[in-house]
Amino acid sequence: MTLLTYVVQSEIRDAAKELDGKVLTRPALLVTDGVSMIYAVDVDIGQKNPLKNVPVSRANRALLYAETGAAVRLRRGDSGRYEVVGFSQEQPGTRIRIPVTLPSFLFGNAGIVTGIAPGMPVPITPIPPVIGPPVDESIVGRPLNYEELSTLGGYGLLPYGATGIFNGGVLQEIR
Amino acid sequence: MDTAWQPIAQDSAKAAKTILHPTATPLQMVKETHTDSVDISEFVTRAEHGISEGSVSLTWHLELYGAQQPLPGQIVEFRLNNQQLWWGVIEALTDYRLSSGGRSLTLTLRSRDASALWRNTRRVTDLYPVATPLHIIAADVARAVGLQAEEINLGITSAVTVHSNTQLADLTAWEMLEKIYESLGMEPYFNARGVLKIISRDVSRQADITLTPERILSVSAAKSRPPLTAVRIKWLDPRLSKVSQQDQMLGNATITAGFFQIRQKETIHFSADSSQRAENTYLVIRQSANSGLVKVCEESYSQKTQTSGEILLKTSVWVPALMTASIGAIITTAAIPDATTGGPGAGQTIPIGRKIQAAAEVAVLLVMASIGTGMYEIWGTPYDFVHARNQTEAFDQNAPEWMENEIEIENDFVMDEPMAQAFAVRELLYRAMEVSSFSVEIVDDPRIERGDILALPDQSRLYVTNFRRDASPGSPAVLSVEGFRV
Repeated sequence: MTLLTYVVQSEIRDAAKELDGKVLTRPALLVTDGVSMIYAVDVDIGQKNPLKNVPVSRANRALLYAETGAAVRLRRGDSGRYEVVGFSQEQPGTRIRIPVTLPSFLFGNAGIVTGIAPGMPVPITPIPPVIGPPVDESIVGRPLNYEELSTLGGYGLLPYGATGIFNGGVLQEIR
Repeated sequence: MDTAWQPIAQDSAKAAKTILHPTATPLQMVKETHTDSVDISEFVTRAEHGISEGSVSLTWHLELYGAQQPLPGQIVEFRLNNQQLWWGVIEALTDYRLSSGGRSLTLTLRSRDASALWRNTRRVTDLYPVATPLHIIAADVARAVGLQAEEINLGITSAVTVHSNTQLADLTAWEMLEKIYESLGMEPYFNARGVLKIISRDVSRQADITLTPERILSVSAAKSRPPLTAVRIKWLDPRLSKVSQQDQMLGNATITAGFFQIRQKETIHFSADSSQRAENTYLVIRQSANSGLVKVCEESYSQKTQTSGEILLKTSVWVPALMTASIGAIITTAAIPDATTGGPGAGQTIPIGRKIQAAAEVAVLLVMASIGTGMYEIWGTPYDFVHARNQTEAFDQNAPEWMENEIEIENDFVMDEPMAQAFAVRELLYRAMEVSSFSVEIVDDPRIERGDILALPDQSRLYVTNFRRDASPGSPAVLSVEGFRV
């Protein structure tokens, strides 16, 4: 896996230099040469999918504590890769999506009188837009509780403190 | 809908006038208190206007020479049946032509909101506290641009600011009004008489005006696939979210304790700038002040505020008491006569007083040797309250993936999730429908304004985005309306 794999195309398109995110996982060792270590976290940036394995800025003591749920500031380098550089005052919140069916109109005659014996205009039946129920697609990362440790992973198999990532309340993965 | 008018009768000619106002101000035009009317109708060869622009073609012989010539910045008014129909500010004089016996000129007119004052000059508003009604902010913006009460008809909204500090900055006055009313499904609009009002972008509401078949003259339409498949609203949640970090060291201190002070306090802030909040804080003793010969103090810690705690070293009372008593003993025993313990003829003399004094000195040294330096750390869980930027998205669920095209709107005047959902759906419907144009020519109806919904006889409906009216004297009573089907 290269360091570029996590780059989200839409964010590149927006050319955002900095953005706010929410940490979804505990810092995990990404790579080490035996001396220096790079830790990485998954970060929700308010898109459909979170950024994976975002390196935590080195030599920043406070950031070692960028725990699950922390609001962090990400900065994008010239190469397009993001890095956690500090804590933030904002974070992605809920993500609610509403499906809509847009109506398709016929031209109709709009009621205009044409021809020799036009008669009355033929009414068309307006097709109103259909608005579906809102769908919650918020991404949340949090430690699993005792019950979840038992039901989701098997009690004793999952370590205490295991983090679950949920999308709209549905478990996506355990880290 | 402008209720000051009635529909014009079919097959009638307009009794229209074109009036030049060389010195009138917009306020005078709104209040109709101007006294500088110059009727130039007899020189008009063609006059027309829309919602935000108009044009007048003039032909004359000598009458409009010199001081009589219209100038940019002056106001031209169209009147119908001696009632104010529309007025605009002369932006340009173009197409000036001289020919034998005649001159011609075309005036380009703009509505008052087309000026740089509204569209180019960037501004900063006052700072508004939470629960300020949005129409108050909008009215302040309008007044800042110079409008008087007679020129503002924004109505009252129930929406209020939900953030503690709301200030609009680096936006033009028009952009500010658009931003304020955007979340409510409204947009600013100067009506034909130059009064600032708001119009609705809700395409699902009831029709404002119903057209009967005989009033519709022609229809032209075009239809295209909606280029927009989703509208995403980003809004700042007014409720703060608590974000905790991992348990960690928040601060440390080195304190020396001893006989010299009974209580030693050290305030520990959880960050250098004293702004970090923390909870479940506790004391970790890396090195105790009691690591000397004798335990001399009690070490304790308590959190005093959200951002600080206090380490307290309380020296035992016996320590200074023993020190004081011993020093007193040294002084008092200095007066004991040097009686000796040895008998007559003995070789050595040990004064009794020296022994007693030495015991007192030992006590003093013991207390002094018990002075200890402790190293303390405060640990705990730092937390903060941060704003969540929520997203609410309305999307066309039938749009194929390869056609996806989204827009993102950021607006912090959204109060809550239901308001955000209504906002997103309303904008998606409006922007997806407006791509299919639908234009009708109808018998003139001066009631029609931008934002009105017209009900057509076949039960379809038309949202008005623009219109064009021939305001030449004696022109037919026809209005070209542009819009889209809703």
